[in-house]
Amino acid sequence: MYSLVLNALVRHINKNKINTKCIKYLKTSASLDAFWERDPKGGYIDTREKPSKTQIVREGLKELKTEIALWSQEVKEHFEFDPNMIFRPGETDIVWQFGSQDSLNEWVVTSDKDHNEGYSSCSLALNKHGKGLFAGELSTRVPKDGRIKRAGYCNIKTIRARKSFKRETFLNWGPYNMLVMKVRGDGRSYMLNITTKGFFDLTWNDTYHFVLYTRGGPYWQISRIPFSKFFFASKGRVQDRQSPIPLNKITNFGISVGDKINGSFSLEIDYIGVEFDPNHKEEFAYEMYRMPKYIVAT
Amino acid sequence: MFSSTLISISSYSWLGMWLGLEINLLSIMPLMQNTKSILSSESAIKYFIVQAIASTIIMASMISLMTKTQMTSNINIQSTILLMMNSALLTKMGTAPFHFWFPEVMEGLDWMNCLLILTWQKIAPMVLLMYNMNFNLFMVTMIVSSMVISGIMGVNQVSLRKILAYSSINHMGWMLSTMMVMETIWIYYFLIYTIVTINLVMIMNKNKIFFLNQLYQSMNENPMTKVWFITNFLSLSGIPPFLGFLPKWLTIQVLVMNGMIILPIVMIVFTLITIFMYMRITLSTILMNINEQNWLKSHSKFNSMALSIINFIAISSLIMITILFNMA
Repeated sequence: MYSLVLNALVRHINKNKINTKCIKYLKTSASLDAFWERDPKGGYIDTREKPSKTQIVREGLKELKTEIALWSQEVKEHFEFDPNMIFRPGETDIVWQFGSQDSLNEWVVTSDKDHNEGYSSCSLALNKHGKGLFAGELSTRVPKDGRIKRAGYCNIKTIRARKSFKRETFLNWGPYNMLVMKVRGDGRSYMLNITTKGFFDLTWNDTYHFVLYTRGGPYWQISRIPFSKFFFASKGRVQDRQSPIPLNKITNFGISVGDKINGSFSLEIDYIGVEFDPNHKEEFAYEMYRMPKYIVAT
Repeated sequence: MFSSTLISISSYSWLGMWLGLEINLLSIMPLMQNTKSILSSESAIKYFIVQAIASTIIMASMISLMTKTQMTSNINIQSTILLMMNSALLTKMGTAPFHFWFPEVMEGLDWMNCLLILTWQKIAPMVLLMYNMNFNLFMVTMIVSSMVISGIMGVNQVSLRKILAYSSINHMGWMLSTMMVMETIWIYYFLIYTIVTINLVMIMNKNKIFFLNQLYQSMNENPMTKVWFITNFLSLSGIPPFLGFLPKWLTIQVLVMNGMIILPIVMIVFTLITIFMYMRITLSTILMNINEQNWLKSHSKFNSMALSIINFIAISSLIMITILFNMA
């Protein structure tokens, strides 16, 4: 109702050609009245057909053997683990590497075309050298059904780490302080997203972002990004109260393209890893001033 | 917070004790709010929910006891209701098998709040537990499960807060066993545990150490920091030349004098696992030194008088106390 009135007002202003400088103070997006989230998926429904209950039980029993093997392996690792040998400084521990077809199963590819919210298309595949290639075409054309105001994004995201028996768990990157990526981009900026989905609904959309600038040349780039440089946002809105990433509660890692430039994009990824750099002592890169309550964002 | 524990301890009836526990919970909630870290509020909520549920169970068991008997401080024991109450008190302390909230909550808090949860928050539930203490199968099960779980779960940890949480679960097991035979030894155990924990937490707070790999590089600025860390850490494990050995020695002696032989054997065997864990960490801390470039090295002096005094007490106490005991 509120947005309808404002839309009418904007059209009236445009018709009568009132000084358009005052339009920037009119808010035409939906206002955020409450922090309560109804759905962890944000209202986007999964329309795929679910198999029947008996089929689910049968398939589950088939997986029992692998799950027990995985569990016994976890127990063995628990006792054989030596923290001194594992988190050595200067060594990159690779978390995701593109080499085989199985590595692609760890990623989920989405774009705004999936729910008819745009016309961008993308794919993640292995190129002829065996490296991952995230490529496609970005289009900022907005579909004309009035649901959305802006369009144009493509995204890849890892699936949530699971322990044996499909228990969801976190990626524990606490001992590390750097993210290392070997990529070859096309000169565009890509947004790296580290999701730390929490237990409570307020924290379902907690994401930490960083903009990765790629060179575009024929040479690979190894970007070492400290975790202290990631800034905190939720559902795309950068939060006023910033804090460093809780590195023991990481759920997903993702890369997205949404830099409002129409055209094709391509990003080759060799590996993504983490490293501990003892010389990097920064805790958090952004200012932590307490602003007065009436200042929302600058 | 201080007055709430004192109310709990010095109260004549269960209602006053429960009141003290509730005030304790409410008073510590604002301390856990930390605007610098988002995870601290999640930890605070988890802590609040667990403690509130435990308080509810204590209240419920109190009311059941009241309906069964007269409400005085001398209670004719209704064993099942007391089982419920003991379970709730053990949950409040974080003893196994009710320990699942403890390492997660510790992980989200900063060092000063961890210190509070590890030391001060344990006093009131422990004292209340002493009023219900009997040598029965339930208590022995709790003790043995604390030992087992702290040993097995503590081995694979990288985060120092979780390591301290599991060591606290281990020490809770020892303290429960002392409470079964002689309460004065519990006081000694708790005092020594508090001193050692304060030392460790102050060192780690000053150097902002949260993970094991940070241990190997942050303490090279001042050699005393390393020595104090190692002595206190080995004290926690209960190895003879250090202060932490005294309470374990007293506990084992008193338990054996009272005819319980199997329980100390089981406790010692499972504490060996935690000792292995501590030894591995201290050995790496002594031997490993991650090289830093010269221009980043800070030559700061260690200026804390209070920490020096407490550490002196920690290092020299064992010898002083044995001399004192022999002289008296």
